Amino acid sequence: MVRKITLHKDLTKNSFSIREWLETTPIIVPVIAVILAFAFGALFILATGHNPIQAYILFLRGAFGNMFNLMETITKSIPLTIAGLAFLFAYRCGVFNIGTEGQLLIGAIAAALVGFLIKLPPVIHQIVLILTGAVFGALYAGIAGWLKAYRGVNEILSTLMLNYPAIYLTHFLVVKVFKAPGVVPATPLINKSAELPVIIPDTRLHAGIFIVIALIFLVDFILRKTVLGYEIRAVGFNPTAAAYSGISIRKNVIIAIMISGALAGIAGSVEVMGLHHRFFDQFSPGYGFDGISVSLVALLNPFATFFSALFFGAMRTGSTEMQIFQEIPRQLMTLYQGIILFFIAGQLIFITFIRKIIRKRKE
Amino acid sequence: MEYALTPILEMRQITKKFGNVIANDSISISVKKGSIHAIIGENGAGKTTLMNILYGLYNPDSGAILINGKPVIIKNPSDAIKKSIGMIHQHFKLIPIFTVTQNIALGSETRKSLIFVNEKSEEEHVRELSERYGLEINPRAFVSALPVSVQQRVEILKALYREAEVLILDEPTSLLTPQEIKEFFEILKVLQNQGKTIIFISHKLEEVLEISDEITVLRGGKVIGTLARKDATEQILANMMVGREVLFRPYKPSVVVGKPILQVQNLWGKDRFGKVIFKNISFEVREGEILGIIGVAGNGQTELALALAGIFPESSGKIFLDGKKISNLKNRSLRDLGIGYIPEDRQKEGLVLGFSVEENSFLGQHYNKPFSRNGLLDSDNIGTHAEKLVEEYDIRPPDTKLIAKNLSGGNQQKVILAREISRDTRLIIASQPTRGLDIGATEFVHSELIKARDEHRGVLLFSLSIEEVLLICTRIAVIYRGEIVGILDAYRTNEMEIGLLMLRGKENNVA
Amino acid sequence: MQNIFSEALLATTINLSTPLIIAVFAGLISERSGVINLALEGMMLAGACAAALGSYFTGNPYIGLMASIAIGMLMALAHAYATITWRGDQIISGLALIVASVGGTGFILQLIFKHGGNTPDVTPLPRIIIPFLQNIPVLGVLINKQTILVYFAYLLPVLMYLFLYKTPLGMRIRACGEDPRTADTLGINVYLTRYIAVLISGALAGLSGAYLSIVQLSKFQENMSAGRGWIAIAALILGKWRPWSVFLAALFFGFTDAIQLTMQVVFPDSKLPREIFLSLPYILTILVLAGFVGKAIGPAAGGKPYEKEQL
Repeated sequence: MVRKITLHKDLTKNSFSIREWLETTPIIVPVIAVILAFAFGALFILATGHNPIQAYILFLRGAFGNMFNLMETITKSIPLTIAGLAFLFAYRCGVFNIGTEGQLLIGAIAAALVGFLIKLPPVIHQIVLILTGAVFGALYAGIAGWLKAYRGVNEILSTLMLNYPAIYLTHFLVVKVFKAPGVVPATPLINKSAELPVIIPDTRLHAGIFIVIALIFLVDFILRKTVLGYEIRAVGFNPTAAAYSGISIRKNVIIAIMISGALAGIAGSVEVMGLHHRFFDQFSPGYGFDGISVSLVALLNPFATFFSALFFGAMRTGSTEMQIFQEIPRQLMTLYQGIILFFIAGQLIFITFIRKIIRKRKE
Repeated sequence: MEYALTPILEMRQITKKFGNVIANDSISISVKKGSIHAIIGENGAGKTTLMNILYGLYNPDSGAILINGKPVIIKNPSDAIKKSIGMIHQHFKLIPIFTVTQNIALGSETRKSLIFVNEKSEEEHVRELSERYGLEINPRAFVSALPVSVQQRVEILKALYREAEVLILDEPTSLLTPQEIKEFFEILKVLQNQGKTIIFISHKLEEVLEISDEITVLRGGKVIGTLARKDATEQILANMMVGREVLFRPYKPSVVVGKPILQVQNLWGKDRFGKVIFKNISFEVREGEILGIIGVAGNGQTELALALAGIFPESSGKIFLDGKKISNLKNRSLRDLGIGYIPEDRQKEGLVLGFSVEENSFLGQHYNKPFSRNGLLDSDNIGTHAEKLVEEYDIRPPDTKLIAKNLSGGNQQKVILAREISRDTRLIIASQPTRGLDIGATEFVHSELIKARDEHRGVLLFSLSIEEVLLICTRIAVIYRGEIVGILDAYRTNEMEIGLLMLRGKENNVA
Repeated sequence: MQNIFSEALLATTINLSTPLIIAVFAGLISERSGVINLALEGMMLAGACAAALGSYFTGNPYIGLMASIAIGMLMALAHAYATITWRGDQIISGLALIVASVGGTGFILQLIFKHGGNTPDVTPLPRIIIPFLQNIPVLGVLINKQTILVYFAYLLPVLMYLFLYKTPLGMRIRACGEDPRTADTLGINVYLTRYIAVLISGALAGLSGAYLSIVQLSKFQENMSAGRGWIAIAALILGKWRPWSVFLAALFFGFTDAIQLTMQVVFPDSKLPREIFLSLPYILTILVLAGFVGKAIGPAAGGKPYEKEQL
């Protein structure tokens, strides 16, 4: 009689110990990172010959200054939030899914195609589209999940590599197969019944915001109140202890990454349904990718993700304003994002620094 | 064997603390040039720490090192190497994808024309050393392809390549077969004949008596004494290593011992490479008793514990719980059948440090009622349960929402104990439950296990401490090289008997 | 099928593979020391920008070349500081640098050249004509009239091999990537060694970007690197972190890219969408990772920050 219980060596190796840092890191770290980025960036603004204070005022105006701008910021934060939730969910299980961009596109194209090929009554059509996006996103991410659980493949590499085939596949489908007539390569418009309506007139803010709110609560609920969430978090924190307690690492890793992919897929389909009503080529300026930054800045908290996404959305709208009125290139904000992320990576610097200050105060 | 009277090496009053633990307590030893000097002691006696200090891997809190009578400062391995000290660690420090020569020369490469490595000359040097010391190896072989005994020769050559005069060997025979051990001793003799001084860390009495000239015994971080080989016998050494004053036993002996709860028959376990880790394991744990399994670390007990807990490794044989066969079951099923498990490493294996005390309090039973229903966690039940445990077990601070990482070691262990003992378990498997705990916490753990015993449950205790097993066990099984070499009545035996079984696998009067 | 080796295709392959080859070695040397450098895409982009600007402002492309090396090393320094000294997360740091690079280069481009999108034409690297090569058929034509970067790229596998396998520093770099603790016990400074490896990585990455802006084209365009950094990483994995294999992998990806580009001319009858060739590098890499095409085992200590124990 042979009893076979083998723990795949790679599954018990956490990808990063920084996960614990992120979950127990004080809020002050992303705040400091943001402040530093803006302070540092002020130098760049000076280089353009403008006053940073004035520029930042313009920034705030562009992001929140009037109804339209505010709604634009919120609209941009919709896909960012959902993509952020996607990365967050997988990372809570210790899975570093950087393939959210690809999963988002796959979900989006699936939704766009189902949206115009099939006719269904209003509410049902929307639900079907969202589910389509979720399912396809989940399946695509599931490839990486299977590879990790059964082949020990590091998910960072596999999800990364899967991004580009998704980009090229969707590009191909849009430009060569389902192209609608017109200048911009895009699929035909989805049926009216599938659209997410604009909820505030004269703006672009659409019903996707409700979906965002629902998803935030859903993700939080799953993680904190369900057995699945408990096991996922246990695996994320300490796979060895989880395994010793009878939790299946394989099962949870695959489920986590598939839910992550589903969320990314929903991000794509919501964008299609609410904003563009079709899949046009390269519609995503890197929402999936940005979702990673959003999530890290939010320290992997579902509710904070919304505010973090709002901030990132603000950076887009605000920077446009700065460009229009002071000719400050909007790419500056992208630079800021990089700086913020960089400081999050090297956050030990702050924490050590802060600890030193606290110690000095005690003396 | 004639050797000079001047000590080549002296360590004077070396003290090293790790937090509250005093690993080395004012240790002084003196090593004569050209001798083979053994340092022996139980696990945790401080042997490896002392040698790590000598090799510069740790810095002592106080004390001095003298070489040839002159005080020296050794801050890191480079300094040690410069002082002609070489160390061969218990776990070899070799790079598998490099060849023998490359491993030996790493860090001290010979250059050819300034930029390139002169592999030919390195190889020649290695060959020359290998011949001189009788250490047969193929300089071009890749280390990954070499058996352990040959890898050990590479490690020795590494030290000799750097002109070490003093060689420190940490448990060098732990991974060797008896035949390889014979060959290894011959190598030591050759090295000694060539004038090298050897310091040998071990816990194996018969080997130490065979090969060494002088023996220093450590216990609890202190030097107990140094003997010349002719003055030492196994008895004397064992006594020095484990001997203590008469034990005061605060715990009443077991209540009437009942029927067997756990029956293990002929268990064999192999590791991933097919090497046998434990064999012929048969024993019983009965109602109302604590069976202790004790052995020097590395004799298979860790793997045995994991196998019994349903985790690892693959094992063959039969196991029964209350008469029911459980041989093939995984840990989840075993838990549900009433086996509690307190793992060896509380932080890595027993707790999810990122979870709160409350969340840790139902780990392993989280999918069952009352903690969850239909996949949803029942926070009310969880809350009451956690509060109860915190109170009963006096976990401090008494905050169930506190993240486990912030608890002291003792309190972390209490959480695990609370979790495993409080539920209706029939059998509790505890692996080194008092490791790293202070006296108060240790006493608490012991009293909890005694309480469980008195409730007619069974406890299987894996321990490294003779003192502990004598204190609370009903019976004591000794494991040596993967086999149970004796099961003793805890009230009729003593440290000597246990110690000898642990250290040489056989009783004193059996040849 | 004789078309497959038509001169046009081979010439294009050499052209397209050169930056990939240089970039893949940038990735290789960093990872062999145990530090994952995911920022290749960003360093390439920054290098391209720096090279173009350097050439634009001084009229001397070699200044551009040096500028690209400098910016690559600067970014590498940041990466090394965050991940080695402060034991920060290597992946996040790498991604951060990419984002910063995209923003930073776009910003500078927009700032200096207003009309956005690209710089005006800059002086490219001169091509070197070796007289006697003109007489050798096929190979001679291919090798002739190339810039020094091409020669450098094709020499890199040899140089890297010699460096990593035959010099003390190279061997120590590999030791740090396999087992830093062992290296430490032998007196090797793991931190310093890794710093050196990462800086070399940055220099090469910057250089690979220079090829884009002062050889392939004679200007810098926004987001010029277009994912080549990721292809270099794919080549690194496909080539299993060994010098000759990664060289061949990079060369192969350059080849598939060339096919994709010249398909109209070389395979006019083909119905295969170009996207398949564009996706090929990634799909192949995944197959390798999954173990369907041999095992992909990277440096044992890759991705883990090293912490000196107790001293």
